[in-house]
Amino acid sequence: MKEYFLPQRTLMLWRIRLCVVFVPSVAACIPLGPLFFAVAAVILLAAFLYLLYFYLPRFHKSYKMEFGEGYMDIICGVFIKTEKILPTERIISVSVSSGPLSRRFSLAALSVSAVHFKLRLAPLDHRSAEIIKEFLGGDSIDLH
Amino acid sequence: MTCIKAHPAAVFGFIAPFWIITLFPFFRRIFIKGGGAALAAAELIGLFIIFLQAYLRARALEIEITETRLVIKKGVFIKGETVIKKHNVSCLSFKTNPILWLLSAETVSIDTEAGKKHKSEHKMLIKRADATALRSALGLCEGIKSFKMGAKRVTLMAAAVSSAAVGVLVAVPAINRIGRVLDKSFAGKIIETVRSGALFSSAFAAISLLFLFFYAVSFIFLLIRNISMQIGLTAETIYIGAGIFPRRRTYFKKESVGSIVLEQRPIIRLSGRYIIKVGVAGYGGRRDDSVIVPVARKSEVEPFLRHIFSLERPNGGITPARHLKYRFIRWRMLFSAAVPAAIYFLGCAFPVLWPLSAPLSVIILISLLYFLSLGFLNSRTARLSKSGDYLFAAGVSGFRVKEFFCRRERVGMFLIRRYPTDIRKKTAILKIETRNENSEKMKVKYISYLAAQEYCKGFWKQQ
Repeated sequence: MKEYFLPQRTLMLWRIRLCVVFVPSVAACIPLGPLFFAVAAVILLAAFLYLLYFYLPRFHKSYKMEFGEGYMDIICGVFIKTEKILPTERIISVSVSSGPLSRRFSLAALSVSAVHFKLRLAPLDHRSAEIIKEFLGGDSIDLH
Repeated sequence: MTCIKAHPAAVFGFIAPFWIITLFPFFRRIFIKGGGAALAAAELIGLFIIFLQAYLRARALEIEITETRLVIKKGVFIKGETVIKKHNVSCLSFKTNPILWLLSAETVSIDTEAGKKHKSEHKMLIKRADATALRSALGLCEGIKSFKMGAKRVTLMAAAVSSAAVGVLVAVPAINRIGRVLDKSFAGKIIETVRSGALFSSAFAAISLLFLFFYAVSFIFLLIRNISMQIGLTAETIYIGAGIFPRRRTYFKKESVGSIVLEQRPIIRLSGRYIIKVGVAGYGGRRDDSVIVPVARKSEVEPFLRHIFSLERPNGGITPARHLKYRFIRWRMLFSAAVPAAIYFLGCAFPVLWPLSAPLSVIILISLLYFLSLGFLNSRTARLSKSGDYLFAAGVSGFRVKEFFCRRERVGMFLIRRYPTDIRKKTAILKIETRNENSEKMKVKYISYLAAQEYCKGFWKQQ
């Protein structure tokens, strides 16, 4: 059984993405007038700080991928914990993708397709993503 | 290699989307006088194009059957070819109606697991002789032993699963009562100009009648669809024949069956019987169509399962802990208390509605008590187990009591969900998803988290 946890860089990537979303959201409230802007900015800031310092670190810590004998297990969640267990032999295709920002952090996200569903996993470091891709893609690679 | 062409009547299938356009010239002659030769010529050209495209498309339709695969060809300008390996055909169904019967034609639907939910993947009108050839080529009609399901079973099922069944039985007295109350309160004051003093009674009685009418329509529709139901079996294939006109004949391999569900709806449960349903890609266009045994007595369920699927109901398995059984009923209890309370307060706030809210709350309370009793039942029957090569899960979903079997290779994914209380009590809600979209999904609630995890991980190991 091999376990994979997310690298610290993934948390950094998520935080940067959150900032990228947050700044324009606050800026979009400016035309609403000073009072609305102040209220909206306070609410958004509270949500931002909550996500940045509470939710994301906990979600990052809870995320775990486990590859066992014939199965793949993905565990995540802060308040509601979700665990998806699926058989590796039913996986039809695996793809690795990375955007400009994730490439900067040497991260890549895996997408796993099986009959009637598709899972997009959290970004992993390039090497681990490639190993998992080769393993799930059918090449006999020893994960250990 | 056998080649099956479309029936000439398939042309009408391709004209159908444009039928309204084909009627334009007739409407024009009726409503607009004149128009000139140029317009008539344009209409003729339009009609010619519609008929020509239909003819060419029907002529291009073809099924080629080789030893190992089916090739479905279609298209005139943009030609398409679909290749399906014979063992990947999950379901083959034939449908006929009086017109098609007179034309010696049948509509064939070929489905695989890759198809969309409740939609035929490949549909084609073919000659009756070709339909027999197609069945033989796929080896589906050899040595089938058929058993007829009695009309009584089908009638009971139709009565129980008709969509308005329970709702109307509950709604009719309430609706009548509403009419009387509104009559007393408002009819005299608001609609003084209307001479009839029983306006609301008449209106609500009409609504009740309408509900009953819909229920009757739904019942008759289901009865006609399923009357004269037959189940045929070979070592590998299951055949289901249902209805007179239209008559549906469906063939599927036992190994294509995604899930087998023993289901009890309120009326069926009161009579102590079960409906046996299967989840197969392509079988069952509607929610209640995937039935293979309309109604079976408790004593008949085991023989049916053994005979059709060589399957036994397992004993034991993972069950919820005894001290956690209150969790099955807490939301149901809250709901059962909140709804009558809300109705009571509504009655107090608007005394004019009080004669209405009292009987209404009694009706709702009875329904909620039944709902609550199902919570208790779920706490006793929720179970996760194995029966040979099958996964077994039992539980209650809404008003339906279900027992669920799924062949190991057909299980798609296990989803374990834990809410804060579950994390504290070390329990989990397990959802079983099958590979086939047509199959039912099943939830087993509040079983031990560690046991569920061990079960799910071990499930693939043994394969």
